[in-house]
Amino acid sequence: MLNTKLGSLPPLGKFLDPVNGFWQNAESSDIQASQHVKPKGLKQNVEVRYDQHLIPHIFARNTSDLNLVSGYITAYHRLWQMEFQTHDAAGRLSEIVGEVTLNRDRAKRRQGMVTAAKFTLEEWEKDPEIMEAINAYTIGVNDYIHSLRYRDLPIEYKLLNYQPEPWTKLKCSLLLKYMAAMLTLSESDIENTNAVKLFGIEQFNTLFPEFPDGIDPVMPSGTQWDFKSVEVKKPVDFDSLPWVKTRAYPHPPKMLGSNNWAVSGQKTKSGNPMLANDMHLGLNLPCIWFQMQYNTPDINVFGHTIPGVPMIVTGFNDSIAWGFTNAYRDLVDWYKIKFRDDSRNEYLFDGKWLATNKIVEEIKIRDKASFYDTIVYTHHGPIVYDQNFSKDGEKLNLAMKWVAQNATSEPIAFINMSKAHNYKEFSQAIKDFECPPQNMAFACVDGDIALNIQGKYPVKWPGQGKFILDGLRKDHEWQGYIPVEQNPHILNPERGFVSSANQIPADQLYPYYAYTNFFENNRNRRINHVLRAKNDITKQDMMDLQNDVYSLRAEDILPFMLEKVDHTSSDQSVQDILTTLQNWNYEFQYSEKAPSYFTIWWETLYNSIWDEFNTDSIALDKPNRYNTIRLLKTSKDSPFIDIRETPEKETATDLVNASFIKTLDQIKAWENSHSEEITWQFYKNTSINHFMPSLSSFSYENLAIGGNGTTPNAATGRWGPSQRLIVDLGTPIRAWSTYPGGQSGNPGNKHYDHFIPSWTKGEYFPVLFMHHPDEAKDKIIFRQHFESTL
Amino acid sequence: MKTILRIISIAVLALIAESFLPWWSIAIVSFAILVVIPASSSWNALLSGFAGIFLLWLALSWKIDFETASILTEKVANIFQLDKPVYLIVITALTGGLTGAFAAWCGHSFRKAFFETTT
Repeated sequence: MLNTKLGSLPPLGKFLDPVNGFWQNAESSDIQASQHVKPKGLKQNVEVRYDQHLIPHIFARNTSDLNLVSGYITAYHRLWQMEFQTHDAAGRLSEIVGEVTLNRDRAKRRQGMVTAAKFTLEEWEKDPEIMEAINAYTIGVNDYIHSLRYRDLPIEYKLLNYQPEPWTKLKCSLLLKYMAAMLTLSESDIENTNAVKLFGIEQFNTLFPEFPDGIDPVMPSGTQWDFKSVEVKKPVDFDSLPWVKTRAYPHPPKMLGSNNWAVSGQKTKSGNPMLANDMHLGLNLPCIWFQMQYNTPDINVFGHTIPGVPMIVTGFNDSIAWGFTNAYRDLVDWYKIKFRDDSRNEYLFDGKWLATNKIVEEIKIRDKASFYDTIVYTHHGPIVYDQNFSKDGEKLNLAMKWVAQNATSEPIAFINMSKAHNYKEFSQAIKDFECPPQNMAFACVDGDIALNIQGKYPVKWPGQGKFILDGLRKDHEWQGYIPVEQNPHILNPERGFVSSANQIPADQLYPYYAYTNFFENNRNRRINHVLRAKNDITKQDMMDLQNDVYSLRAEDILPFMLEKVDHTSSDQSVQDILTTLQNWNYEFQYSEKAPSYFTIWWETLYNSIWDEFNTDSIALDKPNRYNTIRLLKTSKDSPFIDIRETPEKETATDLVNASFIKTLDQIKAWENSHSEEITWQFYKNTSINHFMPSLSSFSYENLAIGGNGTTPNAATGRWGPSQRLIVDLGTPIRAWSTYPGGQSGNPGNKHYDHFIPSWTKGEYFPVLFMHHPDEAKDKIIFRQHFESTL
Repeated sequence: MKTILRIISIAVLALIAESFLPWWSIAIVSFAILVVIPASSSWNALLSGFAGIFLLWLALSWKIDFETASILTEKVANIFQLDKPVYLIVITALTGGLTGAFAAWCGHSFRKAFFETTT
């Protein structure tokens, strides 16, 4: 009995055994690895130096050895996470955790994640440079896995009582698809379609404008484009949108975002260009990033890797630095499919019946029989929604066309970015980077700064894919892709800086249709405002801006709310709240109450304006907050201001006052149910959760960090800066970094949460950038020798 | 005297066995010791098996907890909804002790059944 798993408890005897069980995962020193390792297949000896933050600096004599050791080391620190995330990507979580994740797995299978990862791996196999790296990395990971006894397994395996399986090349590909899914699935096609049906196209365009007032695109407004763009034919008749009630699974939250900027030497105190990047993702432990330095005769690069993929994603080398933010655009379109009959063997397209391709997916479920899901593929893509996978058994068939379903070669782009010495080489390297599209900020020791919006974007006619498309019609298909050299890019702009924070890529002068409902309009305006005003920028200024908590949303709307609200209440506590808000400087400091008051009030107001959208029976998105503020301040008689449930006709003043009264109740209710004061820290509750939500003691809650989704320091409840990096491109090149986690994936190691305090406080550690294994001896805490046995 | 010898033998041999074999080797050791060094009664057998493994697991888990400043004990105790790391040490020792006791009793009975037939 003590050797079998009881419900949610691990097998007790096996787990509690101090010699082999979880006790062995408790580490008294920084690292307990062996100093001499002899992995099979290593061609020459490799030296590894760990600095005091447990960041490995790998010195290899060839690329194959570098990747082999990288695989071994990454698995040593992050094996459970690597495997768990690839299981998630492949729709295999139910194998480990049981039926609770079945719908999540089905969605992944139906999106065609595994098929796409296989295509992609086939594409990689044509490129010997990619395969050399992926093969060696896979050997390294497996060498480590094979060395493991039960006592050495990461604690999560012991708690959930299962074993790691061998690593495969496909898993590397799956992980890049996992990132692509995280960053490109944001779309509102179904919601938009429903909104047009409900409110009419004119009203829809007012509520969801594509170019709202006051925006500040990534490419400075007025940028001229001197290329001849690809022509795109818009169908003349475009109506009869199908009605889709609900989504079977929610689309990703809108909190994902990032900041990057580069300033030229003319704006910095030192005269060196500087670059800053913080990528905002879900706050999870172990952290999604693992920092490493790679040194071979060909490269010397430091940066962030995704555990499971050997390449450096963002970072810097001896000459250049680069950083990413997600370049949102509508990259998923839905085609309504008409089948000939219930067998779903044929579907109608362009007047002809075409054959479908069916794949039966077996989803293994822990302690239960497997679930089999038949997925029907059309030439548009897999049918994600059908009667077997919709909320109410709705009779519809929607095929998903998604850029991430293409075979792509990002690894070679990463390899060449690591090797690049200047903008010419960098801009050449990124051409192979297709998905997920990124705003790539660049800075170089030669003085150049640049920003390229890089990815493979379909050419679309205005409005194409904003709504559900007709899968019967050829003229509803994508007509091609934007030529890579016609992607927006800018080198050394006059204003002396480049920046991006997930906003609209360019103004209306850019000849291609670039739509999404997910552009962010606060952080980028704040960053640009600060960068325009500042000269003699230092590294501290860059850090301050990454940690800036000034909210333009609050600045935009709070004065309006305070002007409309009734100030005559005799209740002292009400007067205190109003005074706190009046004296507030719009900074979301964690220790203050004003951000909590404002957030409750504004969200209540926002929801009361869009009461028309409060329905569970139809998938609908509310107009975004940026545009809501503009509508509220300018259009007095919008029918949406009125609350439909009441006979009176409400005005903006009525809504502001009604929402304020509700706010007072909510504040009281919160204070009654919490022992803490209602400061922003506790109201917001920024937490960093272990990937397994049930393991809450491996997680961190109520972190003392300010900011919200509208401030450059975009730490929300569950999302936020997943790393921060600042690079000064002088001689020598210097960098500072932190991230919400630590290098070790082991909750029993002190490096599991090592960076969390500094990340929370907005502090950085200086990055150790080495050139030789024997330098900086005082900063090295562990030396590891990998010996070749050949 | 023999009881103390049994307890020490079980603890030492279990530690050696466990270093190479899975955790259940503690049961084999307890069983075997009770076959080799006979106990006067079932109670005595139970006590030897319990004390041998209880003391071994208590010492080992306490040592790890102390050396690592409870870095992991606290978190795991929390998963098991225990207030203090020390409870996890006690539960660990009890789990081992009970396993040892049961195996020792089996060893004792086995010896009585096959080696000490009186008729």
